[in-house]
Amino acid sequence: MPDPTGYPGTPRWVKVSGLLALVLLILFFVVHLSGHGPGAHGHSPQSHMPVREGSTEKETRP
Amino acid sequence: MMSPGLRRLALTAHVASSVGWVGAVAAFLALAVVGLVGREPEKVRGAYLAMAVITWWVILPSSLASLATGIISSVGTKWGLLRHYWVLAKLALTVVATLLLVVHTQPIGQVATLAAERALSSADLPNLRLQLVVDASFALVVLLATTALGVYKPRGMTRYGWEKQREPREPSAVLVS
Repeated sequence: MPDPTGYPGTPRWVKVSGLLALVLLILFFVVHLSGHGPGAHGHSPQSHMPVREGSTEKETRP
Repeated sequence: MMSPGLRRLALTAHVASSVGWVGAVAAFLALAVVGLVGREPEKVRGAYLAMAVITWWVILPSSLASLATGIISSVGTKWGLLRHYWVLAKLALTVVATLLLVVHTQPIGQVATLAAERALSSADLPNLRLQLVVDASFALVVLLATTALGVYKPRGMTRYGWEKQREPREPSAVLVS
């Protein structure tokens, strides 16, 4: 139905890219909230342990 | 409306900051990839330390400058801020990208702090380091999209812009034109 005010309406490129942006945004939040984002860093418990001078990486890990 | 000289100055500042932002994010992405898959410990440490510097001294200032000069340029010209869909889309993308950047300064600082203390192994913050690569790639796509919007300026007026265009001009504006 045509707009009574004569407004031509929202262009197709806005609708398509808006939908795409919405999907990407949802995907972004799903990835972050599912525990793979910066909120869940997954670092090893010894990540912040001080390393002895001259020790190798192997020696600091169980 | 801005004078032609002021308009060009604002546009120059906007293009410089926006293009600088794209370049800095591309450099950030390269460093994030080196940090994730690099085999030389010193290079990996250097990459994360450089990423923190680039974030604070280049990416963050250029993103804020791009946002501010974009708003000034649009408000001070016939384009307006809310009249055309391409300007509105560019504004929305820039605001979202800037907010996500601010949120990500914390994990970037976390990796850089650890890299400053010692060499990183593949077991250190693996998800976070991967996330930096993914997010930088995402940011680069968004910034290229905003660049394309600025160049192509696809047609389409918002209802607000359309109604503004139909409003009768002020007498002084009619006399000038």
